[in-house]
Amino acid sequence: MAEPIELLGAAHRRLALIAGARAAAFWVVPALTVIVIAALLGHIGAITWTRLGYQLIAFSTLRRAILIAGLAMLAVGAVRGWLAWRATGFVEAAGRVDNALQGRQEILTFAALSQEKDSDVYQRSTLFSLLRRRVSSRLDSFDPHMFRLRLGDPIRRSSSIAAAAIAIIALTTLSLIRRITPDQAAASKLIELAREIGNTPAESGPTQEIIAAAERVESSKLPPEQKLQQLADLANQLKQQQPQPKPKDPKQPQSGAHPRNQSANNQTGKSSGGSGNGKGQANNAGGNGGSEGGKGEGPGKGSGNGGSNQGTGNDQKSKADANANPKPGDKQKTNEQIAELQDQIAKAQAQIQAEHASTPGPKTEPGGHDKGSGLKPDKNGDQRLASADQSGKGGNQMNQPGQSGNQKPQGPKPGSNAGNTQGGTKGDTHLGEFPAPVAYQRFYQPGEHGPPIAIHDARYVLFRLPEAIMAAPNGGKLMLDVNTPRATTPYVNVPLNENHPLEVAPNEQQLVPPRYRDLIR
Amino acid sequence: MGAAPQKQMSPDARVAEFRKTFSRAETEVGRVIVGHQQVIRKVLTALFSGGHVLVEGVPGLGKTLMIKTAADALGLSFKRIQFTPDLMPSDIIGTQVLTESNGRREFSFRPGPIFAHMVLGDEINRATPKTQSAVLEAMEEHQVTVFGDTYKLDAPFIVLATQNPIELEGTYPLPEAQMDRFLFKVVMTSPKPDELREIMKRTTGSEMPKTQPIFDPALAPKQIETLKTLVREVIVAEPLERYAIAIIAACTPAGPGAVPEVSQYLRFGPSPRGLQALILCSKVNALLDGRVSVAYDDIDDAVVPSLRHRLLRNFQAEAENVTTESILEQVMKRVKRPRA
Repeated sequence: MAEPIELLGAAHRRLALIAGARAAAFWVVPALTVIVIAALLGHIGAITWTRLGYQLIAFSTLRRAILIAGLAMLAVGAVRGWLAWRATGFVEAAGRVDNALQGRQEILTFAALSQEKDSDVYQRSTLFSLLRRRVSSRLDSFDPHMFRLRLGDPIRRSSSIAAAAIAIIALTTLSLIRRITPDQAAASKLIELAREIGNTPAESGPTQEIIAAAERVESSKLPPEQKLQQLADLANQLKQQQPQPKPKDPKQPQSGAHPRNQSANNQTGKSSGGSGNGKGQANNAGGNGGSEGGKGEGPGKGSGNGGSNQGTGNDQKSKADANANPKPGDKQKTNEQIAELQDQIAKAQAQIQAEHASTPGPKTEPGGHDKGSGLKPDKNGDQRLASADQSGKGGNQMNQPGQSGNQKPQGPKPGSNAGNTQGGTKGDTHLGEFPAPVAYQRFYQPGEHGPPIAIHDARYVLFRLPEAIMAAPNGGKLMLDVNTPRATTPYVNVPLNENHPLEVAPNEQQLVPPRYRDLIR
Repeated sequence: MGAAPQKQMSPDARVAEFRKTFSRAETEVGRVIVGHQQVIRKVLTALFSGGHVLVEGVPGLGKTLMIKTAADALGLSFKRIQFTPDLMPSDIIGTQVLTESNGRREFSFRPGPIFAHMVLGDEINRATPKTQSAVLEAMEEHQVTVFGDTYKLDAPFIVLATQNPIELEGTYPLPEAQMDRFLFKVVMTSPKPDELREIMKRTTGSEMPKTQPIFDPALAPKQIETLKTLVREVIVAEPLERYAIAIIAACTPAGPGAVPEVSQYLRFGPSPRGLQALILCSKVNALLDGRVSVAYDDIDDAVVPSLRHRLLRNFQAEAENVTTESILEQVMKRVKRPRA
């Protein structure tokens, strides 16, 4: 014969567990719903409001708030479950057993008597032994597992709470959605790219700084000048992050002539090379590498700086190694992402500049050169930044590899593009369009704008076409042309060989299309 | 015959003996009385609970016959008192009379009809309040006092008073305080056609039905008292006690647990005697079901007969013809069984 107290105790424990689980389950579904929404808020935005050209302001705050709400719901569920578990008493459990076995409250009475402190009166009753026997016989076939954990009902009941939570989040999100401006879109793209880079093992450290800078740019309260300054700083950071490729043959002058390699090799923080390079790159429309690179690796010229550059590059590399031990594939991927990030920065600068130029103000002086809305020169010589900045200049003079590091800029001064193009934003590097013949019929003569660049025997050039930007018909703001395919592969005007010095794979490079070849002299 | 050594019997045997006795009593009374099974059960329940019963019904329904039959079946003494306006208390409880024995004259007590195990007070509402009070005191105290001398009534003692709900002119309806002293109030209704046919057969034939006594008349009082002890030993768990208390509280208009119907239609609710009646009746119900502990259903079954005469309706209820039974029905719908 079963021991009734033990059986009732087992039933009590199980019923308490079930009660706790059911009480907690009531809150789990709404909590998980909210947490999943918080986790997928970015993806939800990507397929909804972002696609429609809107932006969610205070995205991070909202997501954090939703996440906290979800965690709070989880906490409430845990507390409610604990309370329900605790509130399930022994006598109550016996009552449930009694109902299940149709015991006519005999089991309940027995359990109540066993719990009473002053139960002597009943214990002395001669009928208590009979009650105990009857309860034992009733519990003979009792199994506590007959009480099953059924969560369907609480989950069904909690669906209304989940729906309410979804509705509240949706309404809150809708109230926080604003139409996105071009610079905000560019900044968002920057953040996205920076996060991608941050996810790679090779580059995880300074990503937060890039994101922070991009978020500052994204802020609508920041004046355009400061945004441009932020972007310039960002470009500098990226340039410093670009890894230095190991030359195959140190004696052979290799990448010094190639802009990308040059920029990659020049991880320098030296002030002299930095400022000179930046100005030089400002003239290189469409260039990728930056003219300053020659000073690091090129033989002869610039070799004096090369030592320090090399040393700086090694330092950075060692730092990267200290942070993580990236695989070569990751490194290459990171390089590509950084290159793309630089492209985006250039575009963002162009968009901000264009937007800024379109607004009336004292920034633009017709016919002027160095005043107006032009960008400040990139101190460290980011060529993409310069190329985007100086869009519309067309045939800028090419820097000579290995020399431009300490040279003065040869092209038009920054900020002069408004004066040159009467609007100043319709260069081919900005729009991805073939320049109007009138404006691009000729190239600058040496010395026409500043001292001539001593570039000789340049045989090839690598550049990347920016994303297409089309102007509104009325000459208003520029906007991204989403219909035009985006150029992701660098163009080069030299036949590709296997031992090319570029950092990208040969099959990722294209020969310059015929319509652009004439632009390269 | 009988269950004399009940204390030495096992609990199972005692419970079985109680059920057997009760069932036999019902059967024996049923030999004479057609129908009214519930009334018979309540009368027997009151007997084993130690209470009294107020029977209400029109004349000719067999109230007197039923009670006399029950007394015969149980081997108990039976007396009938026909209450009239000129009935005096001494006519009920007895008086001192001058007697002569051995040449000496002295006063000796001559017991009235109240000195019996089962007393039928027929049409108790026709007697004056003074006479009614004499009976009600005996009901409560199980003793009478005559000229300073107290005389104990033999146990078991049960009074079954009848009331005629019609012809109320010239009557003295029982005060509510005195109605409270009855354990149950049962209402006898008119028999159904098939019952009428059976009554006709039994009462107009050549042979009248008779009952067989269950107990030896000499031992019957003691045996019944033993069975009454068993009733008191039935266990009531604390959740069921709370349930019974909740019912009483719900019937109290000024109480915190009063249901809306009670507050609307009642002036006064049941007293603690109502709770006692509820529990005692529930215990008998449990024993009749073979259990030694009270169940919720036992309490539910006891609510109406135990409480219907303890609720004092207000003018609105009487004007709207709201009965106490309907109020109790609403109470039972609203009072929830505790979750233990």
